[in-house]
Amino acid sequence: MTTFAARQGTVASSIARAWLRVYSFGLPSALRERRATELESDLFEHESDAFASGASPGIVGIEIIGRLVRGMPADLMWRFQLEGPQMELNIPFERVTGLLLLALVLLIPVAVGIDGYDTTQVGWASELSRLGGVSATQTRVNVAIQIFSGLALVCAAAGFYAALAPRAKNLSVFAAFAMAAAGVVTFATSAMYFATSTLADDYVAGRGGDDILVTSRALALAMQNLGGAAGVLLTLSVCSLAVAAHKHGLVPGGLKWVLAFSFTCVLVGLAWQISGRDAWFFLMGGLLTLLLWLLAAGSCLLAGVGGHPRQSELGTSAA
Amino acid sequence: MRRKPDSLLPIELSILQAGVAMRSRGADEFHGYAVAKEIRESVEARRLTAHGTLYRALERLEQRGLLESRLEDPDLASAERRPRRRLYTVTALGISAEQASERASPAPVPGVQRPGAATS
Repeated sequence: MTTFAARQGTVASSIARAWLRVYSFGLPSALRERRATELESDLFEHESDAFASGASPGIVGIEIIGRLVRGMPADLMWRFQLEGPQMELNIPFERVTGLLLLALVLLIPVAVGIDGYDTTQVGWASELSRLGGVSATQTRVNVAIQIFSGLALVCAAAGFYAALAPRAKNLSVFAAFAMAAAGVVTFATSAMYFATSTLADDYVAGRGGDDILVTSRALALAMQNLGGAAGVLLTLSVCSLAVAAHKHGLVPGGLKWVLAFSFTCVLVGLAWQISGRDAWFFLMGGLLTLLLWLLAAGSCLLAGVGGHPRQSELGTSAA
Repeated sequence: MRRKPDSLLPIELSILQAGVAMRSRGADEFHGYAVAKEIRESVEARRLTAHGTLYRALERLEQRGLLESRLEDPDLASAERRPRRRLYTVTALGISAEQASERASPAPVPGVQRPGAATS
């Protein structure tokens, strides 16, 4: 009996335990623990009994997975039956919100990061040659990351709305709408990036002339502006989430100073931009501070180190 | 289709029959896996009852008062170096329900799986 074979039963049991955690997520601990105790005992008895009768670990693993899969409809029915009107769910909404905030730390740089090209008329030809030198695989990976990022933003928008709507209806609607819009903009930007890369390949291969330069530069300019639009939408969205989180005391009060610093940087940056000065330092500072707030607020919510919920909020998190 | 409140689903009847059979052999209390194994042997099925089907049915039977359950002594489980078992007992009401269902439909013949005595 190889070590690998002996492990298969254990892997199957781990999958069964993981499935239990999925379908019992959010239920009161007494119900979850009862089912977990029964499953734990069953898995142990099943493995012990089968090994004692000489069954191979692979067969035991298949049996356990078979029992798990055949029982899934019953598990789901059990869950749905418990979701009656009298059921008091204990969905850890703070943890869900924390996870979503941390996900944004990764998603925002991807969504607003499709930029950095030299789009001046003079420098565009060499920029396009550089872009044409990027391998096809790398281009596909970049596009896949952008599409995933757009999808994740739309899903995160739905998640934030579901988590925060019972507490802050208007702010959560606004935050979710802005975030979903940023997701859609990211989709559009990824399509433009792919088109620009294709044109760059043609340019490097010598298929076409000035018309490629003009079209690809137009696409690059549009990408830059869409990246900026995604940035503005995400900033507005995160600001709304931050206001809701501080208003309802979900995150430590000290974090509001980080947020205030970020707002100030962005506002100064926008003012400088309007007056024609280089605002890169302020805008980047504002974005990085906003990411810092997301990181800190998400970690606090995930770790359960929140602020001080308003008295009227207490007892409503189980709803 | 909604079933009658006092009727038993095939899996519920199988569990009660298995519990009564184990009781007749001196095992008054049984755990989940033991009943799954008993059902498999009684109908000579190849597969064990699925986790979800089994524990949902056990819970329903307990809610209807046909079974009772308790968690075993944690010291016993740790002495035997295994997880704690939830031990079930067929109640008097459960025995009556099993007998009534037996009268209404014939007992399973070994080797022939009755419709509904499914293991899923």
